[in-house]
Amino acid sequence: MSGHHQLAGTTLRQRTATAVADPVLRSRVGRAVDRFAGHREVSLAALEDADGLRHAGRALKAEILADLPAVLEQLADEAQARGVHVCWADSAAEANDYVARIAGGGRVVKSKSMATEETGLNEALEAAGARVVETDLGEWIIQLAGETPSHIIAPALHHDRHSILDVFEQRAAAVGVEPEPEALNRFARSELRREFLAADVGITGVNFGVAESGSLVIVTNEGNGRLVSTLPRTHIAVMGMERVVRTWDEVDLFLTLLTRSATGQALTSYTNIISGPRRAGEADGPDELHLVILDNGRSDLLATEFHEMLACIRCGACLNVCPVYRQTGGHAYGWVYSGPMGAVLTPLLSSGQPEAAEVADASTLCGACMQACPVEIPLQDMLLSLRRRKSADAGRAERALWRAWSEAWSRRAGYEATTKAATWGRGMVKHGGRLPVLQRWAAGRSTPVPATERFRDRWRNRSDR
Amino acid sequence: MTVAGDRRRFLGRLRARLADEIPSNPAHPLPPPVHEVPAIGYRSVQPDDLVGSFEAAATAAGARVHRCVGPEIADELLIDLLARYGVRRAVVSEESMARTVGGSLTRLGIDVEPTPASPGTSAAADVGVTSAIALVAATGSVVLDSSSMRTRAASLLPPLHLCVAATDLVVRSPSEVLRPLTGHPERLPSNLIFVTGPSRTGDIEQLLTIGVHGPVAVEIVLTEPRVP
Repeated sequence: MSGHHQLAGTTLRQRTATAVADPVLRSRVGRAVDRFAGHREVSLAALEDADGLRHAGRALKAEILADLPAVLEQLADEAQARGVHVCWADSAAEANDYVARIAGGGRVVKSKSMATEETGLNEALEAAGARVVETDLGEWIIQLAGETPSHIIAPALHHDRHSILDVFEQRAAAVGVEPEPEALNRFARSELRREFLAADVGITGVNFGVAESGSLVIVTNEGNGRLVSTLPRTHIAVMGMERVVRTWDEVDLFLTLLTRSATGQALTSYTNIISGPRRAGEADGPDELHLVILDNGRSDLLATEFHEMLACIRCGACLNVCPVYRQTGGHAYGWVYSGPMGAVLTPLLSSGQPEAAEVADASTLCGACMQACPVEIPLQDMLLSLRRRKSADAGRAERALWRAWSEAWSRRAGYEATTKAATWGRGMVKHGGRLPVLQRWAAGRSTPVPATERFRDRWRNRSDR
Repeated sequence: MTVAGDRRRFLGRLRARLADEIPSNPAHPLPPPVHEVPAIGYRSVQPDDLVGSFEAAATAAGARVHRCVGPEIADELLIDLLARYGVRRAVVSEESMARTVGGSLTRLGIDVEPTPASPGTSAAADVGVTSAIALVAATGSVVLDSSSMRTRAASLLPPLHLCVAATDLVVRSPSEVLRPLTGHPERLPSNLIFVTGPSRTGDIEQLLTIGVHGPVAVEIVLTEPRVP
């Protein structure tokens, strides 16, 4: 695994405690996710049978994934036929090396791309002597601040106008700018416009690679995705290998689901469809176009219980409905992906990193994520599987205790007996006595003190009978 | 074209993985296979008034829409727009409707840059004039084709994007633009763009802020189709 992250050296519990102790952060995150989730609902309701489209989306993604090698081959062949250079990158390092070789020591502008956050491309490029500027406003803010994204589609969600102005003043020499969105925006526009016009290389992600024509679909609201893929002489697109679809009929469906699930827009401001470099007689567009197809651990998910995670279209809808994300924001998850999709992807794509496994605990298993997912990925089932995997290292005593509890509560007699015993033994719990084998489970949880009388006894003995 | 990395190793790894059976999920089994991508129905579109639906959706996306009587754009409307945005310099894409507007702008005293304009020229212009190949009622988008316009920057760098199109180009939804491309990869230009309102960001406190990188304003002028 690469990509700048805070996983190493911290625990989920520590990161969560930091986030939860910050009431300003929580209110910003809460407001943002409510707005996104509300817009999503309205926008999907404008479609006839949105749920039918989601079922179809899930079924189609399953077909594509089952046939992924052939679909990727077609994408690469068609792209090459249109003059695109293709790089098959097994790992983050291979992708970064390829991009760094092309970018050399040049000036690089980037539009938002989670895949390159994942590979830690910026650090690799800077190490190779390139100058890299993120151009999505939110990404530029966090690049200047030296932070990671806190939401996959709203990376600077944890900032407000005052903290953004601080960043601009300290890191981008802003002078006399008011802490107002319009003014901050104007400052960013003029600073970044210079970068676009001077850049040698533009780097973007890819929302959909379209196999039948070798095309790349890139959606942005700001227009930076278009500038990055239009003005520099060289455009490099980095695509997670699972972002491929077969036909334009499929693009129609997944694009509609993506934008409506992400921000609730009917379409983002710019849906940019690129098929090869500039052609003869065209005034602009890149002379050179490169497509990097990235595996980086994704193929390990194929034909496992996590196979369907590769259907993810990175809309962020699961973050916006997650009761855990709402309380913590994205940084508590410790890597580039957050929310339920991040809690699944982080342990899976970073198997070399032992701290990553516990990120699967950042969930209540309530299932709101699958309800919101435009391709109905059963995220909660995957989170449960990851936890089961992790619990394989539990102590023998702890496992025996849970097994005994499960046995006891599967039978009425056992349930009766244990709840009765709990009311008798309440003094022990109340006075801080803790069962030593459960300490790992109980740490950080408040131990409930059993009632003096069980509910079923109170019900039986109630006075109004 | 060059190929980097080891394609055979990459795809071989995927094939080896997929040789195993894909486990089913008993809690949430897959829906039945889909034989064709289902049509998308839009409640927001009035089928008997596509132009009205387009107008409403484009306005909601932050563009302004003007409807002309007849196939020509009246000078009054152009004069109005030029004054509103203080336009002095224009770049025009190479499509006949856009060029007609370019002719009018020259007549009205605007410096119209010769085409094809370089990005630097586009960046210095106050307005970029384009014409659309389709207008999308469900989303309020104008669809631009780089092969006929021969410029991408004209609709991107100037602060004002002025797009002209006849009302017979309004289609119901993105499906009518995208699905005819299925099976016809040769129809794709180097760059096909759906523009839906002005450039926007919500990155500062989730507040809608207009014109972060692309045009601050999108003005769409609809003309009546020419009678053949």
